[in-house]
Amino acid sequence: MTHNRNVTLYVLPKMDEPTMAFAVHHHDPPAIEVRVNFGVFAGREATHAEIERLGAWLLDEVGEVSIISEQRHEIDAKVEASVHQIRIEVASDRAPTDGPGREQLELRILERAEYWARLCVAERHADVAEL
Amino acid sequence: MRLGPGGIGYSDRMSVALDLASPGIAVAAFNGESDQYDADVFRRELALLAEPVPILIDLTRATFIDSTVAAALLEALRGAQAANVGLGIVLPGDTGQAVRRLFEVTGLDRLLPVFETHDAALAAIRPA
Repeated sequence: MTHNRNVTLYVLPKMDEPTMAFAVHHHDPPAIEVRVNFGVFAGREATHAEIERLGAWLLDEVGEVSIISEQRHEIDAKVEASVHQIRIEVASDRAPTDGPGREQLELRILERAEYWARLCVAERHADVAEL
Repeated sequence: MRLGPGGIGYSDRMSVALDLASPGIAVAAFNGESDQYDADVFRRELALLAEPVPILIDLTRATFIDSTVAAALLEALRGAQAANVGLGIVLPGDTGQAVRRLFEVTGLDRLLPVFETHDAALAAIRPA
């Protein structure tokens, strides 16, 4: 790529070259999704070790789980808002098929996530929020 | 930090002042980009209020807020509820969709009282 004040020339990738950005057209919604407002209460991002600890706790409840640590930016033409969240997702094939069973699992995950988040904040926070 | 019109300090990006046009109302305004520094200024200035008064938080001129500002807003709400005074956030629809979306994503929209206009917020928080 060449770059000067007036001209920007991008070299498109060759056909067999993997692209960094790609579109996803199909996405199965998770059976259970729990969000933790980590940034709001801790004033920082969750560490890798903390996420691993959360994962270990959740594996007591479910065989497989996705934990997404995200810095979410909501942007419009005039305002940007940014927040750090942890999302816990359990796929449909890993959750009970019956409604009550799924609700009970969701409740247990909520309890563990809440306890985990409070412990993380108690151990180390950025003097932002006292729970 | 300088002194605002109400005698309470403010920075260029964040200010808390007693609203002379609405006696007994503390008005906090976040301007431009606001992060942890401004959230801390906001907390300190609220703590300097001599007595609990209704609080109007104006985000009309905010161009960026992050998690720490959201946390400070939540703390202010808890403080206001504990002191039994009103709190309202001004977030015009034509400027604050991104912040509204963040409130939705975090669930704060169910906790924080958001109003389209300054007057609507004042009417809601002004003591009867």
